[in-house]
Amino acid sequence: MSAFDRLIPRPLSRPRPLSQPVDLRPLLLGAFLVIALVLLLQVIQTSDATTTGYSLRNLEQDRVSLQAQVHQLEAEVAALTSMERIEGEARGRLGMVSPAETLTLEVHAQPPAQQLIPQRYIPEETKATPKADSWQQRLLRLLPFY
Amino acid sequence: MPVRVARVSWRLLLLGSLLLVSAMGLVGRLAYLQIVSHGHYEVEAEDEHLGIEKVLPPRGDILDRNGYPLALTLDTYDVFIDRKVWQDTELARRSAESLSPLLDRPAEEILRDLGPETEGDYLLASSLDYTVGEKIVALGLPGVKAMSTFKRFYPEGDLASGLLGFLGRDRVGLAGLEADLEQELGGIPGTLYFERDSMGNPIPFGYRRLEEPQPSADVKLTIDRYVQRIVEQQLDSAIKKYGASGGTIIVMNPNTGAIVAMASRPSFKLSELNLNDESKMDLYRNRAVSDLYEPGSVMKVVTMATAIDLGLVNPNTTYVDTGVATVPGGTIENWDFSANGTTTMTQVLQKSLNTGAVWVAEQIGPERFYEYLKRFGFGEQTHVGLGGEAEGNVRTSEDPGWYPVDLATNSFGQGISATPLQMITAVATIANGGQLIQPHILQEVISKDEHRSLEPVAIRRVISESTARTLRGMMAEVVDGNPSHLGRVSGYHVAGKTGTSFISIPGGYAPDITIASFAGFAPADDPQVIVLVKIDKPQSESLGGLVAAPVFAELAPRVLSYLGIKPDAPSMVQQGG
Repeated sequence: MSAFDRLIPRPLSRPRPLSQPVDLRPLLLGAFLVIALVLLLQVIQTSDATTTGYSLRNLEQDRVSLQAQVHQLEAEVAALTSMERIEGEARGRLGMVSPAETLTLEVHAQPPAQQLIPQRYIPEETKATPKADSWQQRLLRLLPFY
Repeated sequence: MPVRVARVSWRLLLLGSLLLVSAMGLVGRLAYLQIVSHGHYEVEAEDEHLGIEKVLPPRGDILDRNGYPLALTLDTYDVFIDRKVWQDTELARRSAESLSPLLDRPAEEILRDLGPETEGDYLLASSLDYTVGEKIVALGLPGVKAMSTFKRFYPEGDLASGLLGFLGRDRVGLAGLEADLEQELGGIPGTLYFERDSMGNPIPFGYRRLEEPQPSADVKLTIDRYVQRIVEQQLDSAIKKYGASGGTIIVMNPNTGAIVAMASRPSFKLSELNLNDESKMDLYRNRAVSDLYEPGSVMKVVTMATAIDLGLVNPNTTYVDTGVATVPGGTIENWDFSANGTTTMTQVLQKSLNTGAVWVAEQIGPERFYEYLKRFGFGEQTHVGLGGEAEGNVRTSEDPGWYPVDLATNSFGQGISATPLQMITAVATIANGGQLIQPHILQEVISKDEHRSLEPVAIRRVISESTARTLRGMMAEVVDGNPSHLGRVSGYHVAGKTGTSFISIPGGYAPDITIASFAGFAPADDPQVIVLVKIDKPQSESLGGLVAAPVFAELAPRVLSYLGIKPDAPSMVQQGG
């Protein structure tokens, strides 16, 4: 190396190229996986909603059916407590007849409480405990846009 | 070298032009369909794809005053066949065979009943049992539509048929309380919109929107099923016994106006209801509120109450009964043509003297007499809440065509007409101490959200309490003061008045055709029950005292003891038949 060479400033390090080729494959794979995951979650969500909707309709149908059965049973109870049937039982099965005479007596006692037909209305519905979320729903809740 | 000039052949031009015109035609047609006729085709498409169903809320029940059901609702199905779908003969045959065992009808009969029409729905089965309907739904047969609906069930059979009324084919009340209380019993229907396939069946998970129906309510009446039953039995028995054409009995609490029983004949039976038979239309009205009659001598208590309230007479006031009362325009005689000499006001009621009533009415004068009639509720509806209620006919001295003789005849209940309900309400005014109480039949409206009780309504004071008390005493003398009176009830003091009226026909009154009635209440000192018995055109007897009073005497003790009303005095307690 000559003396002139020493006077020329030397670069501190070897110059880098301005651009470098990047390997996009992992990025694409990652993006694909994210999109696939989102799509999968969408499918799962739709499936879940459909299943729930189906269950709801089934339950609603069951409720209507049970209500119809309640009405039927109420009608049977009413028919059994009808005066015509009571008279028929009294005359036919117990052999009772209309009174030939009327005897009025004063009794100093409280009459028994009147027994009416069973309670007409369904008692207050107890609030059902909310069903625990499925793992898909828990996962979906983590998403900011859900 | 010659230059070739590109020349378009005329054939190509023609073809191009044709294609251009065709394309323009298509575009034009498309624009017409999509833009001009957009609204029309949108509606058609919606009609094709969107099904609309009316959703009725379950109809409320009708209960008696103790909560026993008189009319209940049962869930049922109506099954329809889409004729268009069943045009496929093989499909129709298979479906009919599947339906046959469930409907208990041969498949051939089902196919035959469809008729020759090729379109539209055919009602195959109505009010089908709910479980059967569910089985049909589960079959999923093409062209078979099972619509959920309901029907009425009457646990007490034909009891109070005329009062309860019935529903039409559209499940809306047509007559009786079913119609009068439609708002409470029927609720407000909702609408279901749903997407449907080409067969008209709902598409699973397709569009579905339900406008919820507003729920209906149960109604509790003031009617007591036991009292209603014995009233109907007594009425039927009396009509049969006396060969009458019909009649009415009303049982009411005079203090509250609550109607405990109301029955009229002729009427219809729910078990034999046939809406296609127009000859039965006459049976569907409630005669207790819609039919007018001339009340006859029961009206004498109203005349007497007016005179006493005005201070014109008292029970011991006398007049001389010569057997005839001469008034401008005619002469009035007693019903038995008797002349009783000096007679007290109490005796006027006891002997039911027409001349006495005329004498009292003359003391009152027409203006005050008709003013009191109005205060007693004659000539206006009672607003009981039952449909078809008549107002009655009262021609006053201010009306054209009124003559002085009208005052005389009106005083004993002829020439004036009222409904049975108006008459019992007027007599109840005397029983309850002088207040005109609005009669009512609805006690409570019970929905899931609220229980609404209806309180008695006092319309106005008609007569003073002392006048009412005096009248009660005089009416008690009519019944209990006469040992042979057929309206007497063992164990209870009864106050009452009989009535026998002739039936008006064009040009006068029909001879020998009467309406026999009796209005009575008990216990006389503290009335709890008032009963009006009216028997139309009795054949074997004609007088109220012989026809209607015995019905009251049989009915009253059963009602009084059932309602737990103590007998008046131990000495009056019946000890044997």
